Amino acid sequence: MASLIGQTVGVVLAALLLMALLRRLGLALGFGRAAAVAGLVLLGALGAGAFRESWHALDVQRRTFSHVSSEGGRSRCMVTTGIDVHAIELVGREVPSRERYYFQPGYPLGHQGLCIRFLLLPRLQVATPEQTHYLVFWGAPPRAQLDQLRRRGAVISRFGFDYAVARVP
Amino acid sequence: MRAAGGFVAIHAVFAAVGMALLFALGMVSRVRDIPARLGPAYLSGVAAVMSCLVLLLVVGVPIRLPELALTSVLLAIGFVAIRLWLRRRGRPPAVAVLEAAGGMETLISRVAVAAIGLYFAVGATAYAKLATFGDDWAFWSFKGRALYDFGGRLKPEVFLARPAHPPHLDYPVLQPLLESLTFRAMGGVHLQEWHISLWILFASFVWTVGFLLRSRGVSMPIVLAPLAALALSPYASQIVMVGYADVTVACFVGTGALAIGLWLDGGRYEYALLGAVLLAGAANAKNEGETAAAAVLVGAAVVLGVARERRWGQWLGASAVAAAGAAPWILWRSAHGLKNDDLPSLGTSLDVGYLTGRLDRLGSAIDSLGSQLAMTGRWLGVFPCFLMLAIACIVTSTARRQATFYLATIGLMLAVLLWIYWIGRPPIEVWLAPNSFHSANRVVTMIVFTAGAGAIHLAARLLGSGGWLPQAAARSGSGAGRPSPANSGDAIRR
Repeated sequence: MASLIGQTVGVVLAALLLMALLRRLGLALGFGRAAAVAGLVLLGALGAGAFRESWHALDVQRRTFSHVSSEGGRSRCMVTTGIDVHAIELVGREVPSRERYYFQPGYPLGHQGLCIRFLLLPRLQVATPEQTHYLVFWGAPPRAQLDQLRRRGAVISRFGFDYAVARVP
Repeated sequence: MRAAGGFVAIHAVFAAVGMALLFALGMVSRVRDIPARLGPAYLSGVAAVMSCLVLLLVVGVPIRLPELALTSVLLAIGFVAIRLWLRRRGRPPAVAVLEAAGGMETLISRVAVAAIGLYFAVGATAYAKLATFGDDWAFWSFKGRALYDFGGRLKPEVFLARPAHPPHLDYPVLQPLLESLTFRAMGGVHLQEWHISLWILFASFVWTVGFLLRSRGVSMPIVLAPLAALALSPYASQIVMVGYADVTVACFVGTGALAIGLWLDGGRYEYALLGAVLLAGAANAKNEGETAAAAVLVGAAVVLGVARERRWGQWLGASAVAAAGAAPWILWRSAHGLKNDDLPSLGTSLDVGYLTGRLDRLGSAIDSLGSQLAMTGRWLGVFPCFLMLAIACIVTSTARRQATFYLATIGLMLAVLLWIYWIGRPPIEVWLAPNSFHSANRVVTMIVFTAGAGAIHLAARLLGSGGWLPQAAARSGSGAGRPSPANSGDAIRR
């Protein structure tokens, strides 16, 4: 807040200085006009000064992302949240597009959960297992629960120890 | 090829509807005026069409390309019919024919316009291959994809179901719906190229501010200097990069506030109506847009009340248009019990003990928002310059009402933000962290855009540039349609 007050006082002083300078040169300019001229000069100078830098920033942005594929761009959240790409591929293979799935995490996922939901679109996550035939286990699926699902006729696909998809009849 | 063609086509549709809207408002009257009005046409077209589509969406109509086409055609026909009817009644165009000044001024202006135009045109290529970041994958593009994947409907599993939903279900859906329609036009999910649309919205904002001020006779050098600062502000281009809706909402709020400000400055009713359409777009873009639109209209009411102007009918008309545009989403959200999980109940938030117990949050929020607005590296000094110009207007009694309007509007916007930060549930650090795309850094965008547009208006008044209607004529309420440099259909030379 102090910086805002300081900067505002600074530009007001700049306008007063401009007014005084012009008066010395024989040009009577009121405070209003001096303020407008000072403001426009300042903004024009800052804008013109930023042109090269902003242009360069766009160049950097263009170069940085020039090799990003469509899939790489979409799945950026996997990198930032640390999701196993193979696990997502498994779930994507096992749960058909536009199907509903129930997601059971083995640990609190936070942002990972959001990312998984986004990446699995157009599959829809539902709130209870009763709403779907597909149960996705993420993070150490309980063995007893998987056995129980098998007894009910579920087909279970696993990826390592941590991930499983059960298709229940 | 299909994707590129579809991308161009959907933008052309919005520009065409917006052009019809400008035609209805008497802001374009000759074919050769069309190229100079493409930016404002696109921005107002998006606001008008998307507000109607949000209404259809919440009543259960699936929003796909046929619905977009039909709505656009009906709106365009309606706007043209309104203009023809008004013309028969002898109402002159709201905007005078603009003619360029001669000599050095024109040369400098053309070079500056070309430089800004080149910046936006070449800059667009930097937005074609971006990744999907943070809140974009968490809910903006998430909702956009869901609308695309599931027939253009508000699928309950995404938009209503708990806990399996993206965060911020209460946020309005203009941007996700626009994204889904862009995907449909392009024939597939193009999350990377979608960012170019946000860049085009930003460019349209700059163009619209320039157009509105030029339409009131403000000379190009006065318009260009602050406009360059707005266009080249580094942080705006970064927010476009991450794909959030802060620049989108700021584009509508900034231009809406300027249009209302020009109406208050003796402008024709058409300016208020254009402002209302743009504010409806703001309200449909983000929650902050709803309160900002209300702030603009309340700010206008304050000025009308203080100045004892008899233009309440026009104010009510504009407010009704903005409210009608904003209402469908607000009603749908209320009907389904969707509310901002970050905020406590009204009873708690008004509890004196609750408020006094967290006064430190208010202090931090004031400090943080002030610091953000003063960040020259991000916003190129736009806000301090605006404050200085507003102070100059008040001290010198020049355009006091206009300065009061912008100060009141921005003050109200800030007050709402401070209130949210004061009463909000999350730790205040989550919202105020300075070095990322956290809340306080981004929400000031709409304030900076409003201040930037207002700064040009106030500077023009201080320098006596533009064909401003004498206050007495505006106060009498007869300003609308009265011949004046700004209001007549004659060419005005700058």
